[in-house]
Amino acid sequence: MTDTAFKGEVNLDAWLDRHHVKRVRTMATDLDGFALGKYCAREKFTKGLPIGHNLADVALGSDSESTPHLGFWHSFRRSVLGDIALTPDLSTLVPDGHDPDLGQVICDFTFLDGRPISLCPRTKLKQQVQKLDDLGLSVKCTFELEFFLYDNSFDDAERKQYQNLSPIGASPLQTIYLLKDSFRAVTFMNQVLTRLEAYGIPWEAWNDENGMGQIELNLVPDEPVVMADRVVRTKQIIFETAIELGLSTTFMAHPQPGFSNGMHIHHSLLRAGDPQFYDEGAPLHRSQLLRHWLAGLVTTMPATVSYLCPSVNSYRRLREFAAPPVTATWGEENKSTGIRLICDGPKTARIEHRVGAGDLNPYHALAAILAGGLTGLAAKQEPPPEFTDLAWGIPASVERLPSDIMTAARTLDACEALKQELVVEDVEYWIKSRRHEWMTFHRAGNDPDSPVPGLWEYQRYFAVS
Amino acid sequence: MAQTLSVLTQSNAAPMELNLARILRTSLRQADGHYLAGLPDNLIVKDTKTRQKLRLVVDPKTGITISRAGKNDTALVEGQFDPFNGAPLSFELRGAWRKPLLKRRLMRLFQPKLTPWQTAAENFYNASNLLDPNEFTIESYSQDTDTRHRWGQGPEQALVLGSAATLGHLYNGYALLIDDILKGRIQCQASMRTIAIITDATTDQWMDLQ
Repeated sequence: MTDTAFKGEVNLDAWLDRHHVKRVRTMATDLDGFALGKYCAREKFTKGLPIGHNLADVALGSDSESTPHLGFWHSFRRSVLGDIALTPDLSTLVPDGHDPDLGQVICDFTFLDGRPISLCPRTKLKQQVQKLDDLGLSVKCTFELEFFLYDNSFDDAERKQYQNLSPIGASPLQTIYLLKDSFRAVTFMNQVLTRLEAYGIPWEAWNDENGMGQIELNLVPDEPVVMADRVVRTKQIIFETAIELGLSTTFMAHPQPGFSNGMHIHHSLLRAGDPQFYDEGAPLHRSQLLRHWLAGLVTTMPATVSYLCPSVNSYRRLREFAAPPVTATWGEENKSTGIRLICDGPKTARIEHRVGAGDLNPYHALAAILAGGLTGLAAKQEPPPEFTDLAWGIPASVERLPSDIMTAARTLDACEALKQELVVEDVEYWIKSRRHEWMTFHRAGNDPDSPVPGLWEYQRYFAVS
Repeated sequence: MAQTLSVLTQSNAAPMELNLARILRTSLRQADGHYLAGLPDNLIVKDTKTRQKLRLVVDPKTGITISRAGKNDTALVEGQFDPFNGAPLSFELRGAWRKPLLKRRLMRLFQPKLTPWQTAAENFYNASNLLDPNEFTIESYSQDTDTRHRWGQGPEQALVLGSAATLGHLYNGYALLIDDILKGRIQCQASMRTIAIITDATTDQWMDLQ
């Protein structure tokens, strides 16, 4: 029902009247990708436009437990704990559908005068999209969402300390695509899909995934900011539906031994609406633009891991033979490499970036990927040789991706090209925020070598990721 | 010679390992390296708070390599190795009464001499690449000894108050400023920005990144 969106209309009050909206929920994502915002009375919301409503500046300067970042600094913050604004992007305003009086809008973190804050993840993605636009290019992309669904409420899961939960749809076997398992989740998924459709979020398919109670949902591709908005909204809808049905879900990267949530990102480049990766006359149909772009992605892949795997828990996923990639490699139709190239036709040629964890911030992840590709275009790089073997269990001479949050942060810090693309101050603040996360993990006395997530990880990531 | 000795950690070293490495580097610098003589070539230490164990492989010619030890490894040394404690290490040697010489050697290795707090403060502020003396003026004052230290001449003012011992631990790299403030050991009159930047510098020092 995309025709219900405010996008393209002039008279906001008439739209709010037509959709009986009495309240508006604002939503933006913080650095960790968690949705923040307020429920606003309609009058408060409209009166605040175009800049929006205030909130404490530490909303963008806090960790995943809302503890302010007291030990490092960014120039957007005020020395005496000030306010910033959540500025609505009215093109994203939609009626909630489920709550008949509610409207939903995506926002950017801005200064109180409406100027963008570069550190805001959504703004960060817009910056990269603009750079591509300056080159006459646009991006079409989508995300594969993986999550676990349990027949336990969030309260129950917490009481059980997240152990021995009952996965929905679980046969005793760790199956994939098993329709008998999928059917057990149909009630939940139908409610989710109905709400997605009400929001104007088109989806392609969902299926039983390999982990016990794991589901994969694929969304229809669109432009980057639109897609990242949709991911954030979809995750919120999945959470809310679980709450309403007395269930629990998690996008935590590694909630159970042996299986992880990833978030693979597919994308392609277009010029004037025409796909640019496939070239009929080029060797293996790989266009020059594709080769340069691919080179940038592979070269910067180790540095982008920090954004693609943001939490301590994310790194439990990157294990040899565990399905996620562990090397900075690429290969055509190779699902063991960091990048899987699909170059089978002019309209379907695309790149699947397979490093991302289920708990990634979609704005950051996509911004980092686009920034990496841009470095390849700028340098007219050629990609390293294609990796045609299975990219697990291979000699140590093949570069491994960072395997812990601090190594990833240090690797990002060392990548000047990516830092320049993503704004040095913002990247350095992000790096310090990861150092903070790492220190918080250790401060709590956690064992970094533990083969399974500890309670600290569940309490920090299970419900909010 | 100390200059040729190194203290290495594994790439995914935890804060406890990095903090211990920094302490050992300080010891080796102070002792010109000769503290390594007579030590076991393989030393297991255990932190009593986290129950985690570290392995120190000691080579008097090249230095020390720190890695994580297995749960079943027997620790020779047990104590407070938690890097967030805000104070120098305290520990006990298993069967110490039979090994007084080894105990002395370990004491020297794990508890390097603290630099007097004012000198340490001067070293700390000069070494930090986050703090510009033309931007900040930072005054530290020890109430119990009535001693003070002043660094920089910039418009951003900060006053750091604490005991000589606490200031000594802070400026010798055993504590993070914000921890000392939140635990009431130090009062710091400054803007949030200044506190954050000084804390950031103490974190860099604590991790031996300066």
